[in-house]
Formats: sequence, structure tokens, C-alpha cells
Amino acid sequence: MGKKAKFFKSIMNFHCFFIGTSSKKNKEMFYFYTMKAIEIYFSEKITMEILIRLPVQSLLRFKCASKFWKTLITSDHFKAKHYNHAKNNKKILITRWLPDHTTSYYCSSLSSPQPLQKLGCCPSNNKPNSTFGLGYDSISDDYKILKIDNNGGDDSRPPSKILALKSGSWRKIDNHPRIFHNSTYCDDPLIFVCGAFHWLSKDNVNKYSMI
Amino acid sequence: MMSLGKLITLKTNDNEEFKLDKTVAVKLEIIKNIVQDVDCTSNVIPLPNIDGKTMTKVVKYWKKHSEEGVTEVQLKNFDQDFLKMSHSELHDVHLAAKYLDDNQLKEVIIQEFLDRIKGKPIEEIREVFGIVNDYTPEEEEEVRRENAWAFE
Repeated sequence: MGKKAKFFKSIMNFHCFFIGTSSKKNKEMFYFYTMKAIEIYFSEKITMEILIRLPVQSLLRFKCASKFWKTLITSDHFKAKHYNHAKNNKKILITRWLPDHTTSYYCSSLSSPQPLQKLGCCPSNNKPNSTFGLGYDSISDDYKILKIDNNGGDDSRPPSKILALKSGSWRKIDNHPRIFHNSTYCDDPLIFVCGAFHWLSKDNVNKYSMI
Repeated sequence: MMSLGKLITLKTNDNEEFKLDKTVAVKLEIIKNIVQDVDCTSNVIPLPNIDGKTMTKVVKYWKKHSEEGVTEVQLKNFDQDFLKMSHSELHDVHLAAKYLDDNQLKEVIIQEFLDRIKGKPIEEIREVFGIVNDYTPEEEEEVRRENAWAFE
């Protein structure tokens, strides 16, 4: 008798189910009955499935719903599930230059039509001549935006900036190797792979190198 | 395709029977697994986790989504109408869809829940999920203060 047939037999006979094997399906069914028996209105599994699809801002708000929700939302298990879901739901970074010389950053999902989510803003110079990238820093568990100002062939090195979304503050970084100018190859966004930003840069003799 | 031999009977936990065309029934993963192993045309397949009221909704959904020549607009309108049910009914249909391994229906319901809670105040969220607020007013205030920016 195949596994499926056994399962069929187990749902044919209610008692069979309770003394049934420890297969995953039966465990789930047992869970189901337990839920029904003590009349929990909303199962934790469905709650989880709904919550992992929500943006962080909503989750922080929902910590106020009950103590159980706060425990659930702050648990490592939930965080990992939420991150995995977000990872599979690719996002794009959108920058917008405003007339008052500030730049606003927005985030938008590629897979579902949702309104733009504002991430932060930064005072910028007059020339909207910068390149941006969005990445996830697993060490500090935070999303970061890297901004590099293009300076053409100028020898001076205007600092690049990095924005940590948790704190909302910009930090200057200017420790690139000296031989490279902050002149990015083109207007392409910065690529974030394996935990680091990558870009092509032009050196003094107009060769392109990978940092 | 609609010959008598192709009918499958599903029986809910309150003894309601649903005779389904096999082509419709096998869309449900769990039913497909069962009919692959056993000749079920003469048997009744019991669904001990689902009541008649919920199964009526699931069957209605699947019949519509299995119709030939149905347009996307018609399906969209049907879904909108189909989802007009109480929070607890929606929850029961989700549990049934989960038991029947019906990912499409599960996703439709999750999305409906997301739409129902979107931008709603905490009090309404509690109502949707049937949550009892077990915070004291002071404790709730503290959690709100800790996450103040999320309420802006």
C-alpha cells in the first residue's frame, strides 16, 4: 500500500488519525484538530503568512495589538521568515531630485503594485550627478543606500555617503584606494552582490577596473 | 467528460455531499493524490476537517475557475463577489484551502486579509484577527512610544 493510500485510509478513519504515523501531514492535521478543539479563532500559521507579507513599519505598529503579536513579530523565527519572503520579492530603489536640492529615496516592489515607500532624503549638490545602490547589510541587519558623487576627471575626491535606514543617518566614506576616482562608468545603479557593492571605475588612463 | 463514471463525491464533516466532476476535483492537490492511488469513482472521499458551508464556497470557487471560456474580467468580478464574507468565514475557507493544498485559493484569501488590514488602526486589526488586547494601558503606551515613528 503506497504512502498516499495509507493517508487516504487515515482520513477515512478518524481513530486511525490519532494513532497514526508521525508523517508531516498527520501532524498538520493534528494541529488542525487541536486548533478547532480549543476554538482559537485565528491560527498562528495564517497570522504568520499574512504578517510576513507586511512592510516593517506596519509590523512595528502591530506590536501594539497584543503581547502575543509582539512576541511573534520580534521572534528570530519570524524575522527569518519575513526576510526570506522579502528577499524573493525584489525591490527597486528610486531617487528623486527636488527643487530645493534635496534627494528623496523611495522603494518599490517589482512583483506587486504597491505605493512607493519613502526611505529618507539627503541634501545634495546642484548637480544631480550621482550613482546609487541599495543593499542589505547582514552584519547590522539593516538596509543601506550607497551614494557616490561623480567628479569626472577632477583630482579631488568628494566623499561618498552611505545611509543606514535603521538610524536614518548618512555617514561619509572616503577610503577608496587612491588610484581610483569616484567616476563611475555610467549612470547605471550600483550592483549589490554577496554583501558588497560593485562598480566599474575609471582610472587616470581611462581604463575600467573593478573595485 | 460529464459521464457518471467521472463524478467524485466529497463528504464533509457534517455529512454534506458534493458531487464533483473529476476534472474539477483533481485540481485539488489532495484529491488528485487520492484518486491516483485508488479508484474513487464508487467511493466517497471524506473531508473531516471541512464543514458543508465552507466546502460550498470552495466548490463554487473551483467550478468558476474551471469553466471553459471564462474571461479574466469575469474571474476578477467573481473573486470580488466571492470574497464578500465575514473574517471568520474567510479564515475557515483559508483553512480548507490549506488542507486541500490549494495554493491559488490560499493566496487569494491572504491578499484579501492584507487588503482588509491595510492602513487600518490597531483597534480594527484586533477585530479582524479576533485579538484580545492583553496590554495594560501603560504597557501599550510604552510599546507605542518605542515604535513611535511607525505611527507617523
